[in-house]
This record gives sequence, structure tokens and C-alpha cells, in this order.
Amino acid sequence: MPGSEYIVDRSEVLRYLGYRGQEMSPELDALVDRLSERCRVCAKPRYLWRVFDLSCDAEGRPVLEESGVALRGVDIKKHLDGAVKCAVMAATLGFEVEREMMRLGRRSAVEELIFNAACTALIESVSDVCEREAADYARGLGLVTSFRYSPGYGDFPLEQQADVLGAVEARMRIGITLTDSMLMLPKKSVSALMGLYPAESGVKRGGTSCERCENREFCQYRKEGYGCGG
Amino acid sequence: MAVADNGFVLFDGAMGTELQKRGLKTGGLPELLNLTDPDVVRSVHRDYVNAGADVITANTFGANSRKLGSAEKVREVISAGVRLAREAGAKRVALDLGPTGAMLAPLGTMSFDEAYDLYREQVLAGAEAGADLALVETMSDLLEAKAALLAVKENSDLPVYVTMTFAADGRTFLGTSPAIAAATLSALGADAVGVNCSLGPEEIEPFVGEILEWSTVPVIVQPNAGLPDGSSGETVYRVTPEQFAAAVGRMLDAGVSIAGGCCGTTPEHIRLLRAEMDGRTPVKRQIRRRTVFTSAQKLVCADGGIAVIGERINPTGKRKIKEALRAQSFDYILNEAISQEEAGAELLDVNAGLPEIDEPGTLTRLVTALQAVTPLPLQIDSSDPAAIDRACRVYAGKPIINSVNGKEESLEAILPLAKKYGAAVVGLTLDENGIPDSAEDRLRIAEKIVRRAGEYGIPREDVLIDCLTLTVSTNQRLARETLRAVGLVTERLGLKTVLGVSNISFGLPNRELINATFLANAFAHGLTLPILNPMSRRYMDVVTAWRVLSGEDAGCGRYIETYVNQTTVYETAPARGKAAAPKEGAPTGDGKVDITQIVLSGRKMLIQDAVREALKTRAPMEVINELLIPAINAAGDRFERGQFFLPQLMASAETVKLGFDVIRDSAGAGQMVSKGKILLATVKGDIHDIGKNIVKMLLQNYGYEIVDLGRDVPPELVVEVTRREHIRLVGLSALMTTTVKAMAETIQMLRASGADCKVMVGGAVLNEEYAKLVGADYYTKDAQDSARVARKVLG
Repeated sequence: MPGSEYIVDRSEVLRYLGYRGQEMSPELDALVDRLSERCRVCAKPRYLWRVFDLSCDAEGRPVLEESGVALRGVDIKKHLDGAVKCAVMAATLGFEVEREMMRLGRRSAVEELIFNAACTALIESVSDVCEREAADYARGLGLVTSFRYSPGYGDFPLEQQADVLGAVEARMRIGITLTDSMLMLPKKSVSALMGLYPAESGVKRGGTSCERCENREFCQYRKEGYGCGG
Repeated sequence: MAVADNGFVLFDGAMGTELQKRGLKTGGLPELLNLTDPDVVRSVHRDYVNAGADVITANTFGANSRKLGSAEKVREVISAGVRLAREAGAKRVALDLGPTGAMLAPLGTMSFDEAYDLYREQVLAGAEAGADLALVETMSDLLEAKAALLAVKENSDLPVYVTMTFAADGRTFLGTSPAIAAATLSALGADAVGVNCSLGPEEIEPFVGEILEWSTVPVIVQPNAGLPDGSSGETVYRVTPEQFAAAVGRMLDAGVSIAGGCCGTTPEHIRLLRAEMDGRTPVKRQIRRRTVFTSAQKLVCADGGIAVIGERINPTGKRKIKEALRAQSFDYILNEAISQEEAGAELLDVNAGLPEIDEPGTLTRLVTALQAVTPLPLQIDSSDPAAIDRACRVYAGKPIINSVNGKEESLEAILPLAKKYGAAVVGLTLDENGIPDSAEDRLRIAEKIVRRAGEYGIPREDVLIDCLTLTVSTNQRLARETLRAVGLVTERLGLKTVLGVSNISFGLPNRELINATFLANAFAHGLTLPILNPMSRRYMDVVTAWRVLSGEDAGCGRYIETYVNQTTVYETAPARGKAAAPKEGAPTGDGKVDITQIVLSGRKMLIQDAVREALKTRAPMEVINELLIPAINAAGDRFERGQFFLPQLMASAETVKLGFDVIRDSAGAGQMVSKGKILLATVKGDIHDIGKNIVKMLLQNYGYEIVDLGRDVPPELVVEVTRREHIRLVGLSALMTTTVKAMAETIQMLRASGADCKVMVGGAVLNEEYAKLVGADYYTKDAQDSARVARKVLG
């Protein structure tokens, strides 16, 4: 996993910080750069993905064949409707950024906030790299992938996080663990599923998944009409 | 049973890989197969017995009650697991103990005791079922490995081997190196330590080299059959049995005495490894005895020269640390830790001794919190054995205990703790008759301490002697005796010495001069572990210079790097977060315009001088109400209008906070400037605390005093501190839908306790309605909003 593929996109960092073109002081400007660089240095991006065959259980739920995990809820079923396979991915920045964030938080809440935004931008970039790899693989099979869909979206239960991470052995292989309240640790981690569809099925790539997001009621980005880009 | 009693010990190979071959899916709990499909499990074991394995690892890796649901189930699954291995013809059966699956505090939410209890259940079940040894394996977290290791040692007589798993960068996912793992786990009393899983045998060879270098006990390896090649689907391991056996064979030549396989290895791998072992005899390892201290991320070896111990985390004579300990609000202390690290400390002394607080509880929480923000090994400093016991227990590494002394009572209370936790221990040269005057008498006490430590099984190199510094102004003769004692202990006993230098100058002016001179002399007599304030440039100069004179700084590189562009000026470095004010460019005049502009532009460098200037002509409250508050209000207005985005508002707020600090410092202890205390906490189970931290900073800048209990805070602690500190406003945050119920529970407990306080809540998934539902008085949509609530409740 060469590191040069991942970027901390400055405009993304600013977007997470709620930037709307305000005039910034040179100090703040430099701080954003410094903390973005710090994030790049501290992060140990790791990711993995695996493609499963899809089958259906007695209740009509999609099942990740090789792991025996049945996926619950109407929304994930809709998401995978027409898919012939399903890619499961997991990505993380590792624990060092958590420690660094705690250190920064003792010194300055601004630095903590900006560092946090930089980490969010980076984990998105890592997830994108991972997603592209899986999509390339799918293309080799003559398939196309849908967008990333995660436990907690819509009525896809957050509790299935354990099944999803377990299916790819994310704890053993890249160090993602779960708390009892289903938080992923390291916090800057992503897990997601992507359907693999026949190319001719006309599945829509990209776009946002707001309609299915459980945070849609509260989402500041959405209120302001921007969307989180997810 | 002795380890490696017949020379080498051969473990089996992968269970999971073999189960998959027999058609098992990767999800679910493979341990349950002990009950549902015993024949399959037994047949895998039998294949390994037939391949020549001495030890069969029972199928109990994840059999804990967190995963299985109950202690009864744990017992059932483990009992069956051990039995199946036995039935397959195993010569010896290992109880297998893998990670709990949860992350321990401070990075996670599981407490040390919870992890320990999970392992204890497994150990009791395994011992009862007749396992011959315990294998703690595939650990990423040194603290979790310690919990499992202690659970085995404290609840059974089983020998215990411990392995950790490392990524390609040579660290576990939590940042522990093979050297740290080896030094720490062998000190803790593991019967063998090593590496498993991780990567293939070729890739782990350097890790094994490190472990052989630092372990004082036999070394075990269980590599994978190469890297998992699983990007597209099934996991494939490509190292052949021949390649595997040859690579592990080289490790046997290097000193490894216990080996087996992990993921991807098969009975054939083990059979060929048997042949490698049968053709050899174990090599005799040279075990080096060194004075080593560790944290989970750092190893400090005192054999190579001086290691500075930072002294500042100690409430004696420090008002802010006392306040922080009383309120359980550790930010100030954590900052002191980071500052000392940045100033060059290599270890940190941690003392939480205040008569009016629960010292064991407080020290334990503080040690946990410190491990999240600093990699420096800790010196646990207390006169209360219970506090030492509990703090050492939750410490991920090999700490120093400060201290034991020559009194019988002290030796009997402290030395067993040092042994149990594999800690180094500071021995003070005093006994029932007090501190002897002469160096020879102090030497005699040191001899006694090291002898008694030996009787408890503590190696000499882990005994550090403090010859005790006495105030020179009251007895001038004794300074030389202390120095002579350092020399005698170093030369005659060959022990390392510790010395706190600050006491020497008590009652004299220009104390740093005396201290630094004393320090230099102590180095000349052999001192290796000075306890001092690393924020003092003068002391660190002496340290850097002595490293040149002693030869530690080979080629003087470090010295030259430090001083090539520097002249020495003796001032104590400013504390962290308080930037040194530049002498030029400080604003003058009445300061009103300047302060607003400084705050709006977030120019932290300028605010302190501006406030000092304003204090010359105005009362502190006037500066706050007429200058600082209007300035932060102006920033708040800009934020509301969208002219500022959040980081700009926060930069302004931090600037104001520095202004407040100046006023607080100048007002002194008797005349604190506070508009009231607010308690903040991120609720139990939740560790997303960034929103809370923003609220905290903003409220501080409106003049409120914040008691910050941090994240993942148990409801009981919120209630306890709210009552003790007479808090009238409590702010709780939670980010996840899954943790909002902990918020409701906390509020309920607060109400039930009769605490006279209002509660405000905030967090991404909350809204006005939801806030009412959890029983809060106020919902705050953002940090600005919390300031509005605070004004309403506290004025």
C-alpha cells in the first residue's frame, strides 16, 4: 500500500470545518497545512476488501456466502438488488492518530478540531483507494460496483458492524475493533459494502446516499444543501 | 512442568485454516464447534499429533463470556475444547487465550478489570479441564496481554507463554515493538514470550532477533505461512512446508526453543518442523541483564547512560495540580506530562498523594489517562501500597515503583508488588532509625534492600537506589555524604542510582544554581536517573553537557546539534500552551481596541502582554467584563453571521483563554476569578469528545471554571464530582444513538442523588425533543448555545 496514493485534500479539510470562503488569517491558514501534514505523518493507513458471492436465506435476506452472514433490513436488500456479488471493505488510519488527537486536544481545541478534519479527509481518501481497487477487480469480471453502504445507514442495523468486520477479519488483519456500543476503534475507520452488478444492469454509480443515512435528520451539511459527499 | 524440558517444544499449526478446508465458513464462533462438531475439531488435533506436535492448542481462542454470553458457556466450551485435544492424543494441551475483541481504556472503553475477569473465567475453566499450560496469543495490546498473563498467574499454576503479533512496520497495531513486548512480558513473569501470526517466517525474522535480544525467558515463534493473499476472495498462504521449516530452523539456530505455526500452516508444515527440531539441540542463549523501563510504545534502557525522570506531576507545593486531582479533571496534569516530554524527560514520576482524596482510585485513573498522551514510561510514586498496586496493575509496561525503604514494614509491603508487576523499584536509604548521616551507613541500607529484593525474586538490575538529598543550608556536611553514597552504591554494589536534586537548595536564593552544581557532581559520582524539573533549561544543560563528558554522547553530536546556534540564558521555560510573549510589539494605551483586534485575529502571541498592560490600570473583573468578554462576543457575533467559521471562533476563544490565564495568575489563589463551575463529560461508552472539548474551551472564555471528566465517564463519577464540587450546571455529550441511553442513565442518577444542578446536553444525534426525553433541562445545538445556557443558569 504505497502512501503516495492517499491525500489530505485541503479543500475537503476546510469543508469538514464548515468553511464558506471566509477570509482566513495567515496563522490559521498555516495551521491547517501544518496539521494536515501532521495527520499524514501519524496515520498508518491500512485497508482490505474481499468479494463474496451473494445468496439468499429462507427469509429472503441477502447472505455473504463464504462467511454465512445474513444482512438485515429492507435498505441493504434494496442496495444489493440485482447484485451478483458483494464486496466488503474496511479501512483505518490506525491508533497513532487517536493518540495524537488526544495530545493536541490537551493543548488546543482548535488544533484538535482541524486535525480531526484532516483525518476525516484522509480516511475518505484511503477508502476511495480501496473502493477503486475493488471496482477494478469487479471490472475484470465484467461487473460494476455501487457506492459504499455501511452498517447504520437506513435500517441496516449498526449491530451488524460486528458481522461485516468479522467477514473480512478486520480486527486481525488491520486492527479495527468494536466497542459494546458498536463504535469502531480506531475511530477513523470505515466499513462498507458494495454490490457488484452486471455492467448492463445500469446501476447508478456515485451520487449521495443521504436518503438512506440515519443522520439525515441532523446533518448540518444536508441542511445547508451541500451533502457530506458520502 | 518446566519449559522446554526436552529441549525444543513443538506446537501445532493453524486450526482455522484446517477447519476451512473441511468446509467451515469464516463468520461465527469457531469455538462453538467444540460442542456442535467435536469430530471435526478432534480430527484436526489428531493430524497435528500425528505430525509430531508436542503441544496441542485447544480450540478456545475466543471462548470468553463477552463472545459466548455467559460464564457457564465458557466453561462448557473450554472443557470440551481441552477434552478434544486430549482425546486426539495430545502429549500436552494448551489453553488458548486470544484477544477479548474489545479495546482497553484509554483508547477504548473496556476497563482492565473487565478484561481480567474475562480471562479469569477462561483460566479457571481451563485449569479445571486439565490444561497443561496457557498460551496467550495474537495480542496487539500490551495491556490486554498483561491482563491475560496476570489472570493465568493469579488463578492457576499453569505455565504461561505469551505471543504478540506485529505488522510489517515492526509494531503491533497499538505501537508496541518486539523489544518492548519481550522486556515487559518477561519481567511480568511469562514462562516464554514471542511472536505469532503477523507475517511469514522470513518477514518476522528481524522481530524474532529483537525478542531474543530483550527477553530473559525462552522465546516462542508461531509464524503464518506467509502473507495472506486475499484481495480478491479466499485467503491463500503461499509459504510451502519446506520453506517454512527451513526459515523456522534458522530461528532455532538463533536461540528460539519453542515453535509452531499460525494462519495457513498445516500438519505438513509441522511435520517438517519436527524434523528440523529433531536434528538439532537448543543453543545456549546469552541472556543480558539490563535495567529497562517500558511503556507500550517506548523502551528506555538505563545501561547506556543518563535517563531523566520528570518530577512535575506531584501535588506538593503545586496549587494547580492539587486542584486538578481534587476535581478529577486531569487536563492540566496531562499538559505537564507533554511539556516535560518535549523538554527532554525520558520517564515521568507520577504522584497523586493528597490526604483528602481517594489516592488509589485517582492515581489509577491518572496513570490510565497519561498513557494516552505520552509514550514515556512512568515512575509510580506513592507511599500507599494500595495505590501502587492498583496503578501498576493498569499500567501497560514495566514501570518504576517509587519507593521502598529499609524499614521492614516497607520491604514487606512493596517488594511483592514490584515482583508481581515486574517493576523496577527505587530503594530509599533510610530505615527504622531514619536517614543515616554517613555514606557507609546508607550503603548498608542499600545492601539490605537489594538482598531482600533478591529474596523476593527481583533481579539486581531492577533495584535502583536513592541515596537521599538533604537540604544543604541546614546541614552542609551532608551534601558530600549523599554524593559519596551515590559513588559507593555505584561502585561497590553495581546498582543504578536515582536522586531528586531540588531539595538540596531549600531555603537558599538562586536555587537552580545550587541544584545544577549538585546535579553535575552527582553525575560525576555515578548518578544515572536524576529526578528533576526538565522545564529548567539549566538542569537540562547540565545533562546534555555531562553526556559529552561521560562519553554517552558519542562524537558530541547531540551536544553540537543542541547548542550550535544557541547561547545559554537561564530562565525556566514557559509552560506548554503559554507562548512566550515577545518583548517588542506589545500594545500600549487602554488596550480596549487592541484586545478586541488581537482576539478577533486570534493572535495568541500578543494577548498576554496586552492583558498585563490593561491590568495596570483596571481591576481584574473590569478587564474581564469590559475587554475580554466583549471581544469574545464580537467573535461569537461574526460566527453567527457566517463571517467566521468554527476554527476562527475557536482561535479567538483560545486567545481569550490566555488572557484569562494572565488574570488568574495575577489574582492569586485567594482571589480566583470565576463565574461558576461547570462539569462536562462525554457519557459512558462514548469516546467521541471533540464537541465537548469545543464547548469546554468556549465556556472557559466566558470566565467559567470547567471540571472536565473526559470521555467514557461512568455515571457514578459524574454524580460524585457534581456533589463534592457543588456543581450547578452539568453538560453531557454523546455522539451515537447507541450511547444516548447512557446519557439518560447519568441524568437519572444525578436526579436520584438529589444533586442541585441543571443539565444541558448536546451531540450530533440529539435535538430539542430527544433532549427532553433523556431528562435534560437544556438542549444546546452548538458551543455558542452552551454559553447562553451557562449565562442563564450561572449568570
